[in-house]
Amino acid sequence: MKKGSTVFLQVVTVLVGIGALALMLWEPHLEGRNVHATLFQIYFNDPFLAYAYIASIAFFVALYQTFKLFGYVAQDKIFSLNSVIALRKIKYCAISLVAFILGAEAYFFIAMRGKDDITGGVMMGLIMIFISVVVANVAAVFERILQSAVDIKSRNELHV
Amino acid sequence: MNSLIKAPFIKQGSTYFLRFTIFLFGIFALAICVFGLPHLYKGGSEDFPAASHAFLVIVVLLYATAVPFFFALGQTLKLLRFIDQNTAFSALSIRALRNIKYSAITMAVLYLACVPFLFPIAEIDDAPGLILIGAVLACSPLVIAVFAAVLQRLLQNAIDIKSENDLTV
Repeated sequence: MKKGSTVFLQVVTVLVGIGALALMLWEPHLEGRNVHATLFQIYFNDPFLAYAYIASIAFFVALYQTFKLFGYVAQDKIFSLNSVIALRKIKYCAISLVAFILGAEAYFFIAMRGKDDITGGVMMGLIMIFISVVVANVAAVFERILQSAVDIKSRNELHV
Repeated sequence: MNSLIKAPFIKQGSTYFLRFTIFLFGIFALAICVFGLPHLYKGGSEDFPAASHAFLVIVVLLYATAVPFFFALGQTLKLLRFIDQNTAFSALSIRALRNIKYSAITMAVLYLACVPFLFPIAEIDDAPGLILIGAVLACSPLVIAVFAAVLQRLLQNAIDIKSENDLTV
C-alpha cells in the first residue's frame, strides 16, 4: 500500500483534532459573561463547560481510532480483527456523543428555557447529533463490510 | 465472529440512514443552487459593484461544481445499494469509487479556479484572509478524493483475496 495517501489522511485527522481542541479552548473567552473573568474563572466556574469537555473525550477517542485505522491501511493490516474493533469503538464513541448531546439538550430545555435564549445551542446540538448519527452509521457499514472481508480472508487461509 | 454487542437504534450496518443523508445533501445543494447562488451574485455585485464580474465568474464556476457533486452523490447511492445487496466486493463498486474520486478532483479544480477571482473582492473589502480561507476550502474535496482512492485500493485487495478463495474452493 502506498504510504503517501494514508499519511495525508492521518495529517488531516490530526489537523481536525488540533482545530477542535483550539476551538474548544478558545470559545469560552468569547462568552459575554466572561468579559471580566480571570483565566481560572473562565475554565473552572462553569459546570456545563466541564460537561462539554468530558463529552469531547469520546470525539478525540474516535479521532485516535481513525488515525489508527489509517495506520493499519498503511501496514496492510486493514483486513484484521483489530480494525473491525477500531471501527466498533468509533461507532460506540459516536453513540455516546449522541447521548451526551441529548443530555445537554435536556439541560437546555429543563433548566435554561425562559432564562436565556436557547435556540442557538439547541440547533448546534441537533446538527452535532445528526453528524454523530451519520458517523455511527458509516462506521457500522464499514464494520460489516470489513467483517465479511476478514471472514473471506480467514477461510482463504484455512484452505491454503 | 459477528459483532457481539448490537448498537442501539442502528440496524447493524444498515444503509437506510445513509441513503437518507445523501438525499438530504442533495436537497441542500439544490437549495443553494436555486436560492443561495443567485442571491450571492445579486448581493455581491450590489455591495462591490467594481467586482461584479468576479462574482459572476465565481457563481458560474460554483454552478459548474454542482454537476460533479450530484454525480458523486449518485455514485454513492449506487455504492450503498451494492453494499445492501452484499455485492460490495465487485468491479462495479470499484468503478463507482473511481468515479467519486474523479468527481472530487474535478470539484477541487473548479474551486481552485475560483480563487484568483477572490483577489479583486479581497482587495476592495481589504480582507486578505478571504483568499487563504478560500484556498483551504477549495482543497477540501481532495480529502474525499484521497479517501476514495484508498478505499478503491483496499477494495481491489479484498477482491483479489476473494477470487483467490474462489479458485481454491
